[in-house]
Amino acid sequence: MKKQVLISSFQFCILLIGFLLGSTVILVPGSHANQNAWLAYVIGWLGGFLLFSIYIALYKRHPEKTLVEIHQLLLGKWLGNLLSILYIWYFLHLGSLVLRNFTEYTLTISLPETPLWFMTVLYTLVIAYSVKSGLEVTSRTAELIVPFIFLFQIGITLLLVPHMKFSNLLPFLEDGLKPVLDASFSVLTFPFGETVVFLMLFPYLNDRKKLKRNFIISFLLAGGLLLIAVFREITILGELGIERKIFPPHLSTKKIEVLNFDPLIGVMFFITGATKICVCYLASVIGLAQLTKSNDHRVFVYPIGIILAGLSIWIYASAPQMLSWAIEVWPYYSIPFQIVIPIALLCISLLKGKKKSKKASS
Amino acid sequence: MFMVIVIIFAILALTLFDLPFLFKKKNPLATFTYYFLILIGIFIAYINIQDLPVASPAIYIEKLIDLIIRR
Repeated sequence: MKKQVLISSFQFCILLIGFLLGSTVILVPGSHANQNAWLAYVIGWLGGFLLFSIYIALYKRHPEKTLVEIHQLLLGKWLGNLLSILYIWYFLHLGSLVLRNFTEYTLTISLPETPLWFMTVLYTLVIAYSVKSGLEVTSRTAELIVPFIFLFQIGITLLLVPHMKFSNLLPFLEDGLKPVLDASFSVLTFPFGETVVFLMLFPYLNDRKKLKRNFIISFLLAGGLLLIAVFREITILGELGIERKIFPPHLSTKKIEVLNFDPLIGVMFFITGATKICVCYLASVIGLAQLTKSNDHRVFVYPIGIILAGLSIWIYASAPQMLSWAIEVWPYYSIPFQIVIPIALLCISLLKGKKKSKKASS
Repeated sequence: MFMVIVIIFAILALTLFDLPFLFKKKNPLATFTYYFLILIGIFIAYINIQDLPVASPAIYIEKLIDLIIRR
């Protein structure tokens, strides 16, 4: 079935970049590897390339099919639908996690007197409006605002150069490679493996031949920008700073004497966080619409919005619990969704393809 | 309790905007899923407003993972 709404290659790149930057603009990925966080990040980044290639290979075997449709095709109606429901939950959970990150950041840094529910409802309203308007509108909005992130990130980094202490990067591999590999696994699952959600959006790309090129460009740009941010945080705050502080980029930006650039971090997170939540929200409602054989995903925007907002408040008791969950539980929780199931689906697809070609030749 | 009633009423009242679409499409599965999700939304909103000590899904996921990898 041909999808009606289509987005351009550039819009897809921007969505993917915004998604990858997501909450990582306020956190330091792989921070528990201390001064070696940059190495953990680079390993996770390379793993991310490999993982996304698997997603593309799976999609290329089933062009114009979303993850929900691929499940039904490869696993049958019952098992396929069950797996699709689990994935819809996963996307919703990811969206609520990012939403909670945003509200916690705003309450901790900018508006400490504001109730959590108020920020959650306001942010959900904006995102729900974007999702209700459709993928095209969301992509165009992202196209307009996400490029500013490059300007802000590079600008902040340049202003912070005088505060960087490169001795903070030492000692190199003090405790061996194990903590670095542990941290790189967590980088792989957050943010790179989370791009599994794009398996729901690939069919909406108008020029699918450029998919591989778009992915490489997006991964290089977003990954490079994040690598700069990781280096910046380590060299400015040191190992203790990045490991112990809740939102390290906020603290490092405070070191700029001339002007208060701290709100820019909030603005960046508002843009990238919104892009990430929109993608997760869209994937959930598109998945539900396909499961229920409803032609229009917009009908599910309202109920999913209520659940998203409610879940983001209910799911964690506090900001430290949210962060420890993201570091200790999220990587393991993501293994089946990001690694095991997509690889299994690709293997099943290859086996089925071989069987078909054998039948055809005989 | 008044707050709970107001919020549940607001959630249900807002479903009126989607009703024309649901009736027009005549898709019972979509209608059922829609109201099932609304019920889940009301349930979560009730827990949040009343601040009930109900463990969130994150706690169960954590317990399940602890059980599997025996941390």
